[in-house]
Amino acid sequence: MGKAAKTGIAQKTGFQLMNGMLNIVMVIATVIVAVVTYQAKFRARALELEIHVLNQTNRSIRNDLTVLRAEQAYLSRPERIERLARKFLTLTPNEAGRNLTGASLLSGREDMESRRSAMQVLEKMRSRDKARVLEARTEAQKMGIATVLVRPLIARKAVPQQRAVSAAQVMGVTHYSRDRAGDAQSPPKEPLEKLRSRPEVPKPKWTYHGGIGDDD
Amino acid sequence: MMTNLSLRFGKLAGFGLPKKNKLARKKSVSVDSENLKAVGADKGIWLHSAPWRYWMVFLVFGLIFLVIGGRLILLGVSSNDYAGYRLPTQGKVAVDRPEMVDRNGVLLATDIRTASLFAEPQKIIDIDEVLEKLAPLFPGLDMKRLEKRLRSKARFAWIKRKLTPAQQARVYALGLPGLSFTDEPQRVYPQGITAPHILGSVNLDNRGGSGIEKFIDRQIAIEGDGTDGHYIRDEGDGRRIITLSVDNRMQYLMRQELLQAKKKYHAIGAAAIVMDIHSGEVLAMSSVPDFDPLKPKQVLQRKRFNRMSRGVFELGSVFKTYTMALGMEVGKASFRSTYDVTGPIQVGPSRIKDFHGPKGWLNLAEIFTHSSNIGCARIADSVGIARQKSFLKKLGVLARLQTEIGDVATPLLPRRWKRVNMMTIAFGHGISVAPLQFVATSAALYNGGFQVRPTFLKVNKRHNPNKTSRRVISARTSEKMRVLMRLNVIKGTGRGTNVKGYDVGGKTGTADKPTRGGYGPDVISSFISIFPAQNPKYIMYVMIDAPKGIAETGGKKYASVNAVPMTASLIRRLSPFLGLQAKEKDALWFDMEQFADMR
Repeated sequence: MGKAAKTGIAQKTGFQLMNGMLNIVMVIATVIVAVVTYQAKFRARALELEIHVLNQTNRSIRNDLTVLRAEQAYLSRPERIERLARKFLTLTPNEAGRNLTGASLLSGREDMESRRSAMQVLEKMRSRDKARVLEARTEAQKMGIATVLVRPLIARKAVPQQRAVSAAQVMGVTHYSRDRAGDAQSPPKEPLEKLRSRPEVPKPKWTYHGGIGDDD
Repeated sequence: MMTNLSLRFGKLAGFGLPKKNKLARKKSVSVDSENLKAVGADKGIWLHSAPWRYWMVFLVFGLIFLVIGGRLILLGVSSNDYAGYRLPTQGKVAVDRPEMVDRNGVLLATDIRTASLFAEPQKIIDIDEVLEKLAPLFPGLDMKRLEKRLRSKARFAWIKRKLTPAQQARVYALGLPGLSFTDEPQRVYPQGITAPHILGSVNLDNRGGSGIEKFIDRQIAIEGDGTDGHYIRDEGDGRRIITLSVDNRMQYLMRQELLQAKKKYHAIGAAAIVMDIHSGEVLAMSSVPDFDPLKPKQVLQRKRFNRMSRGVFELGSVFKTYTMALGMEVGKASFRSTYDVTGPIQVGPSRIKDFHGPKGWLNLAEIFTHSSNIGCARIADSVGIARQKSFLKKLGVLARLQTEIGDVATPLLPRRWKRVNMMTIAFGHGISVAPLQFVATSAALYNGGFQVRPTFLKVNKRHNPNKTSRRVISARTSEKMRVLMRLNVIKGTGRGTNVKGYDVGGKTGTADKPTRGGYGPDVISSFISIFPAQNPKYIMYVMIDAPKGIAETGGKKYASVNAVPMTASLIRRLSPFLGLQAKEKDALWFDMEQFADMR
C-alpha cells in the first residue's frame, strides 16, 4: 500500500508539471482555433454575400437575355419579315420547285450548312449589287447627279453597323430605331417624346395588349 | 500519456472523479490485484481502477460528439447537395415556365419579368396626391374604384399589373410612399398569332389553360429528354425549353392561306394540317378563326374553337379511302372488281344516291375517282358490318385519341351499327370524327400500313411515339391505296392538286352539314392528300367549313373547286420548307395500262 502511495506522489508531481504545460498548450490551441474559426466564419459570410450578389447579377442578366431573345424573335417574326420584304425587296412568295436554303437564315435556324449556303448567296448578291451600284454611279455622274446615297454601300472599309444604317437609308428607312422599325400596324402607344425620355431598358411592347392588367 | 490525458479530461469535465477514484481504486485493487500484478502495469493503475460507469459515460459522449462532428464535416464537404438549403434564392426564379421553341429552335413562347404596381394603403400619406399623380399615367384605370380601395382598411391593393418598364420608371419618378412593385412573370408569344391552338394560352397567374401550355403544367417540375414522358429540357444556362414539332414558317403560311380561303369562299371557318406520315409529327396545324392568346375573352369564344381536334364532323367522301382499303384488305375487292351503280340503293326508308358521275357498272378505281356513294355502299355491303367495324376500330377511328394538346373530341358513332349505317359510313356519313383523328388514322393507309400516333413534340432518338407502332393493314393494300390516290389526282376529282414535280395523291370530300333533323344546305368540303405518292413523306388535310359558291367556282361549293385549289396552293408554298425537291417530271411509278379504259 505504502509503495503504491509513494509512486503515486512521485507521479503526481510529474503530472503537475505536465498539467501546467498542457494548460498553456491548450489555451494557446484554443485561441488559435477560435481565431481560425472566426476568420473562416467571416470569410464564409463574405463569400455568401458574393454568391448572393453574383446570383442577383446572374438573374438579372438572364432576365435581360430572355427579353432580348424575345425581342429578337419578335423582330424576326414571319409576318414582319414578309411585310418588310414586300416593302423593300423585289422577291416573290415561295413557289414549288424553289429550294429555300437561304430562307433558314431569316428564321434564325442554327443549321451550319444552310447558313453557309445562305452566306454564299448573300455574298453573290453583294458583289452583284456592287457592280450595279458602280454602274449606276457612273451613269449618275454622267448626268451630273451627286451619288451620296449609294456611296456607303460600296465603302467596304466602313464598320458593319455603319453599313447597315446606310443600307437602311438607301432603302428609305430614315430611323434605324427599334421602336419604330417599320411597324405600321401597331404604332407606339405613347407619344414619341415619352419614348425618348424613357430609361435604358428594353421595351417588350408586344406584351401589352390593351387593358389586360386592369383586373385585380 | 493517452490514459493520463483521458483522465485529465474526466477531471476537467467535473465528474467529481478524484474522490470516487480513491474508493474505487481500493475496491478494484482488492478485486483485481492478482490480475494487475500479472500484467505488471503499476503505471496504468489509474486506468484499470477507474469504475466502468465513468468509461461508459465517456464512451457515450464521445460517440455523440463523433457523430455530430462527422455530420458537420459531411455537410461542409458535400456542399452541392445542401447548397440550396444553405442559401435559398430570394424571390422567384427568373423564368417560371419553360420556353417553347419550334422544330428549328425558333422561339414561340417565353416568360419575361414585368413589374406589377401595388399599394399598401396604410402607408400612403396623401391618397389624393397618389390618385392625382397616377391618373395621367394609366388612362384606362378606374380611379373611383381605386380610391375606394385605397381609403379602405385593406393592407394591400393592386393598382396595375404587368407594367411596361417605361411605366415603371415613371411611377418610380413620382416618388410616392406606400407604392411598391413586385416581379411577375408574363407569358409572351413573340411570333404573334401563328399557332394559338397548338401553343394554347395562360391565365393572369401564368397557369396553362389549353394546348401545350396546359401540357407543360403537368410536367413543369420535372426535366427530361422525352424518354420517360418528360419533355422539358434544361439547357444548362437557366433556360428550360420544350421543342415542338411545328415549323413556325409553315405555320404562318398555312394560317395566311386559311384566312385568305375563308374570306374568298365566305366560309365560317377553315382548317388544315400537315403531318409527317411516318413519325406522326405535326409540322403545321391551323384552324381559323383562331384567337390571340393574350386576349382571354377570345380564347373561350365558341366560334374560335380548334376545328381540327375539338370538333367532330361528318367528313363525307374522304372516308371512302377507308372503304377502299377495307375492301382490298379483306380480299373482297381488287382493281378488277366491278360494281353496279346504275340506280339508287333503297335501305329501309333511306335511299343512297349518286349526284354525279357515270351510271352502269364501275370498277374499283372508277368508284374512287368518280366518288360514287352507291359503289362504296356496295363494297361495304360485300364486306359486312362486323368486319367494317373491326377494321375502323383497328385503325383507331372509333376510340378517343389523346394528344399533347389535349383530348381529341370523341367520335360520334351510330347507336346501333345497322346495314344502313354501314352503307352511309362507307361514304362518310352517319359517323362524326375529328379531322385530326381522321388524318392520324389515315396515315396507316399510305405509309406501308403502320399505325401513327400524332405528336406535337419534336421526335428524336429518345422521344418517338411511333417507334414501336403496330401494323394495321398490309403493305400490299397500302401500296394499292397510294395508286388510287395518285390516280384520283391524275384522272379524278383531285386534278387541281397535280402540282408538277411533287407526285401528289389525294381524295376530295364534300359532306352535307347536319342540322336539326336532317341535312342543311351547308357543306364541309375537304381534301386529304399525300406526297410524294410513290413513297409518301407527308399527309395533308384541308377543310373548309361551309364555303359559299362564288363566281370563280361557278357558284359551286364542291371540294374540287375550293379545297382542291387550296391544297395546291398550300403544297406550292409549303414544299420548300418540307425539304422536298420538285422533280423535273412526274414519272409514272405504276402500271397505267390497267386503268387505260377508265371512264
